[in-house]
Amino acid sequence: MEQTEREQDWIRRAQRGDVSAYDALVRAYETLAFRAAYLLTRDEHEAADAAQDAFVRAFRALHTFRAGEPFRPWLMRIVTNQALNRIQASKRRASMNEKYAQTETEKQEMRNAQEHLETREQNEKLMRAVQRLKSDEQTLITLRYFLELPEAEVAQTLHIPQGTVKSRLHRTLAKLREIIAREFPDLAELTNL
Amino acid sequence: MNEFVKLESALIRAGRELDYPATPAIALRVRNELTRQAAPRAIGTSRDWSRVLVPLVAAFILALALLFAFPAARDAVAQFFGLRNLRVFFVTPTPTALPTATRNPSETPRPTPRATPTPTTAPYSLCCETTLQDAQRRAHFKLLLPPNELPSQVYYLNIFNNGEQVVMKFGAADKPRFVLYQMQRWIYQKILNGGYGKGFGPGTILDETRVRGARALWFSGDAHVLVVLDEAGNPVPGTERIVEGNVLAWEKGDSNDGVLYRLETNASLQDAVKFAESLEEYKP
Repeated sequence: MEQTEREQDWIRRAQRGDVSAYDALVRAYETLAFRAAYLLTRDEHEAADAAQDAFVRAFRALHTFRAGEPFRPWLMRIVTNQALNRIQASKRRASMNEKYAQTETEKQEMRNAQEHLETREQNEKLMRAVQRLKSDEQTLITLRYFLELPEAEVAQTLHIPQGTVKSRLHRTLAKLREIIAREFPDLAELTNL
Repeated sequence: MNEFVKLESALIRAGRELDYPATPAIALRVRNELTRQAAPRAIGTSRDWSRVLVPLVAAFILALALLFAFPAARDAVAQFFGLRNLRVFFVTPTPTALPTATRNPSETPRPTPRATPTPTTAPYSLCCETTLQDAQRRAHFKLLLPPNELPSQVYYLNIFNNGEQVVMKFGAADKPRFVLYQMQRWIYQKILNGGYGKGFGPGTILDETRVRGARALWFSGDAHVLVVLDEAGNPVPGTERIVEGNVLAWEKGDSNDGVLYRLETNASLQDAVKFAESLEEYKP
């Protein structure tokens, strides 16, 4: 059975109350959901809670899911909303970001100083530059680039036309380029043609 | 050329090379959370299992109180564990002391799991005994029977004028092998004091199985309480009953005109499914 066919079967069974089918769905997407939440919250525990809440909400809303539709964007919309809600509700975003930066720094120090240091530093700074964007812009970058979802799926996740995804991505990348030029001049080469 | 090509590549690389924390056991957490929400712990109940075990009636009263308090909120999750017309609620047992004469005081007391359930199938003896032909004449759904066996006793019941139940005993009337309940438009609620899955722990054990391809539930282990809900979802006083046998439950049709089947038995799961799958429409 193909992945999509198997997935639709799980969904149909889960809608009828099949516990093991919903378990299978959760297991299929738990890593993606957790990583998406982690990229937005920058906190391991917040991300785990957001992913869990998202799956619980998804279960409760499963009767509204239309058969035959792709499940991943439907789920990812719930996951990103949960992650963003947690950030806003707790108002701990700044401290979470600091914690993330600190954790990353500590990890960095423990690594071999020579090993991919330059690339890792660049990644770290780029992540921090992305964190300067607004939350909806961060969500867009997270879905399209960090998680590498196709544009069409990003559009389904955010409930916007694919053309709008393209234009928003363009605007967001332009804004990110400005942030890099202003605050992370070391990364300037990434913004050159 | 895309003016952001380098930036896009760098973002993708950053996403791939990020040291993500190991994914926690989200599926387990989700299952636990759904279960927890389905049966919130009562205020003041202890988690000290060492003082066990749970009178079922106490669990029943607790569950009824919770049911009255949160019927709507718990409905979806209840259905998750149940069938369309059979609701399953997990309740947290209320501890009571074990009889001290039966245990060594130096031992740490603990609940005794039942590796092998020893159920007894209580013969149905409520209202209203009739004949097979009369039950089929009155019932608005086709009764099912095994191909080569007639019931030793048959009961027909219609409490609310909106739902019917036909009960058939197979085997000796006072010690039946199977008691088959066939009902339409009744909502049954099961209340369990155990966990989900084999070997989960002491108490009633709930497993999923199939009857002719349809999802079915198998209740085994400790006894559980059964109560009838009316159309508003409220327990009907006087309908509560402790079920000590194993139970196979499955459904046919939709929630409007479908039929819920409950098979109480001392038999194994395999034998119960075999019996259930042998059932055919009664032809008077």
